[in-house]
Amino acid sequence: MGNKSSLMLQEQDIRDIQAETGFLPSQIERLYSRFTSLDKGDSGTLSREDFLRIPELAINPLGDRIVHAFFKESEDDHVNFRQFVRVLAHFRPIKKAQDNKLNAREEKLRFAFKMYDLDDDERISREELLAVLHMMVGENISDDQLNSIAERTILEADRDGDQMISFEEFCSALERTDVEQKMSIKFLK
Amino acid sequence: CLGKIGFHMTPKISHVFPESCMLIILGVVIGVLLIYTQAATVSPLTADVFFLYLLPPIILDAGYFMPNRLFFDNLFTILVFAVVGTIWNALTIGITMYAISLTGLFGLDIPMLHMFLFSSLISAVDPVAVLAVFEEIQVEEVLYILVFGESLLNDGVTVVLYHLFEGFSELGEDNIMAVDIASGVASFLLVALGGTAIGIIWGFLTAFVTRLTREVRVIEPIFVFVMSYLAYLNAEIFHLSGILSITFCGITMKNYVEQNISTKSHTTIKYAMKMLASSSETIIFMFLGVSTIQSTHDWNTWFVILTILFCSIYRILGVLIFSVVCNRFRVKKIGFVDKFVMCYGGLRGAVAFALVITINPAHIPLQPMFLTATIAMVYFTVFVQGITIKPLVQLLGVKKSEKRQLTMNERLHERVMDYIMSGFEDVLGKQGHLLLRNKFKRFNNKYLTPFLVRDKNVIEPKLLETYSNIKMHEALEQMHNSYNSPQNIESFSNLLRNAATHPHVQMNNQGEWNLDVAELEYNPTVRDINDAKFHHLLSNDYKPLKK
Repeated sequence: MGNKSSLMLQEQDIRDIQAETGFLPSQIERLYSRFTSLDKGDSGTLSREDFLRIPELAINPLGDRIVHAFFKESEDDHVNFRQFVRVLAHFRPIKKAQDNKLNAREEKLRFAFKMYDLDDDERISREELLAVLHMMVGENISDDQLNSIAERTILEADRDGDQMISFEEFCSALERTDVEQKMSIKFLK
Repeated sequence: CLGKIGFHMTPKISHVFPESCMLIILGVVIGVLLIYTQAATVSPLTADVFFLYLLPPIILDAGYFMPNRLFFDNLFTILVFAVVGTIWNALTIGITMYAISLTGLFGLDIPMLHMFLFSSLISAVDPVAVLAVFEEIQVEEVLYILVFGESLLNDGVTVVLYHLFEGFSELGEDNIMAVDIASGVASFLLVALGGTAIGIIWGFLTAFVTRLTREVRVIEPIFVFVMSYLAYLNAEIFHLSGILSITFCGITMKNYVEQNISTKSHTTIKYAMKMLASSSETIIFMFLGVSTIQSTHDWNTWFVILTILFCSIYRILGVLIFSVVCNRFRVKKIGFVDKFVMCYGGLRGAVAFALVITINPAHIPLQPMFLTATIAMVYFTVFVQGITIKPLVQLLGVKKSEKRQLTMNERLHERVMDYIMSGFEDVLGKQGHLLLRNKFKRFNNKYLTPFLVRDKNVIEPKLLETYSNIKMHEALEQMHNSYNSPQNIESFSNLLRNAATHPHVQMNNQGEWNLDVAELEYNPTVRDINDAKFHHLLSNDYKPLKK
C-alpha cells in the first residue's frame, strides 16, 4: 500500500495541496495513505458507504452530518483526495506564523455552524436545533424539555429577534470558548 | 479557626501573605508559648495522626470536586510530570547531594542510600500546599489541573521510593541486587495501580449504595464520607497508595452519586467536605509550626542551602524538559508563562514533613538533620514562593480562571464540537483521546449507569444540568429583583390593631371577639399578588421530567 500511494500522488499535487491547506508534505502523504485505505473499491474516490464503513463513525450521533460535510463540495456524490484534504484542513491547529484561510477561527466556527444548518440558509432555525439535539440526546429526554432547551438556546443567542441564529450571533455566543483548541486535531508528521 | 477569621479580616495582610504562612506562624507562636509555659507537651504531629485523620479529607475534597474532563484530557501530561518528573527529581537531587557530601562540605559522611531516602521524600510536590496557595491566586484551569494533578498522583511514586530506599538502607548498601531494584519497580506499579483500583471499586460501591437511598435521604452524605474513608484505609492496610485510592474514589463516585442524591444532600456534602478539608488544612499548618519548635533539630547550613538550591534547580530543569516532551503530544502547548508557574508552584509541604518524621533515627542517624532541612525547605517554598507567587502571577499576566456558569449555547455547541471532532478522529483512523472518551461514555451508558444510577439515565446529563441550573438561577434573580419595598408589609400588630376596628370583627353570640385574621375581608397587598404571580410562573415552568 505504501508503494501505491507514492505512485498515485504527484509532486505537483502535493505542492498544490500544501499551498492550499498548509499541510506539510509528510502529513499529506499520511493522509493519502489513509484515504486509500478507506477506499475499498480502489476507485480513487470515496463514496458514502466507504465512510459509513468506519465503525465508530456509524455510531457517532452526528455521523451523518459529518459525512455530509465531505460531500457538500462534490457534485457527483464522490469525494476525491483534494476535497478530502480540504475538509480536514479546517482542523489543523492554528499556528500564529502560518496564517491560512482554511483553519482560521472563523472557518472552524463556520464548519460547526454548517453542522446545524442543513438547508444552507445561513440561519439555524429551531427545527434544525431540535434535530441536532434529538440526534445527540436520544430518547430519554421528553420533547417538552428538548423544546425548552432549544428555545433557551435561541433566546440566549438571538440578537435581531428573528427567532433564528445567524452566523454572527453564533460566533458571538461562542466568543469565550477556546475554539482554536477544541476544533483542532494534531496531525502527525 | 479564630486565626483564620482574623486573617481574613485584615485584608491588607492577606494581599501579601497567603493563608498558609499565617497559619504556620501562628503554629510557631503557639509552640513557643507552650515551651515557655511548660504546659503539657502537645503531641507534635505524628505521622499517624497526619496520615490517618488529617490528610484524607483534603484529598477527598480535591478528588470529588476535580473537573473530570480537564483531568482526563490532560492525564498524559500529568502522569509524565508526576511519575517521571518525581523520579527525575529524586534521583538528580540525591546524586548531586551525595557527590557533594563526598567532598566533605557537610562535614559528615552521608551514605548514598540515606541520601536517596531524603531526596525521594523532598522531591514530592505537596497537594496540601499547592491547594492552599493556588486557591489564593486562582489561575486558569488547565494550569491548575497540571500542577495539582501532578501533586496528587506523585504520592504513589513518593511512597514507593521512600519505602524502597528505607528497605534498602536496612539491608545495607552491599546487599542490593538487581532483583531488589526490579521488585522496586514492580512494587511501584502495584502500589499505584492497586491504590487506584481500590479507589475506583469503592467509588462504584458508593454509587450503588446511593442508588438505593431514595427512602433514607438524610443519611446519604454519611455514605459518601464513610465509604471514601474506608477506601483510604483499605488501600493503606495493603500498603498501597491511600491518596490515589481516595482521589479516584472521589472522582468515580461523583459522576454517579450526583445523579442519585437529593439536592439537599448534595449541598450538605459539598459544605461538609469543604469544612473538613479546610479545618484539616488549618490544623496541619499549625502543627507544622508547633513541631518546628518541638522537634530535635540539627542545623547544617550547607546541607540546608544546597537542598533548597538543588530542589529548585532540578524542578526548573525537569519542568523544561518534560514540557518539551509533552508538548509534542498536546494541541494546547504549555507556554513559557505556564512553565514558570509550574516551576514556581512546585511546593513542598506537609507530606514530606510527615515522611521525614517517620524515619527511624536508629537506622538513619542523620534524621534530625534531614528533619531540619525538610522543615527549612517547606518554610522556604511556602513562605518565599507562596508570598511572591501572587504578584508574579499578576506581573506575568497569567490567565486567571473564569468562574462562570456555562451558557446554554456554550454547553450545547461544545458538545456538538466534541462529536464532530471525535467523528473526524475516526475518519483519520486516529486513536485520539476523544475516541477513548466516547468509547468509555458508551460503555458507561450501557452497563454502568443503569446499574448505578437510580433514575432512568439521560445520555447527555450535562445538557439538562446546565439548562436547569440556568433556569434556577434566573428564577431566583427574578424573585430578588422584583421584591417589593417593605412599605406594604403590614406588621402583625398593625394588622391586629386594624382588625379590632374592622367592621367584620364583632362580638359573636358568646361575647367573644373573633380575631381570626383569616376571616377578615381579604385585602391582598401588592406583594401578595406578586407572590401569587411568581408561584404560578414557577409552577408552569417546572414541569417534572416525564419518566
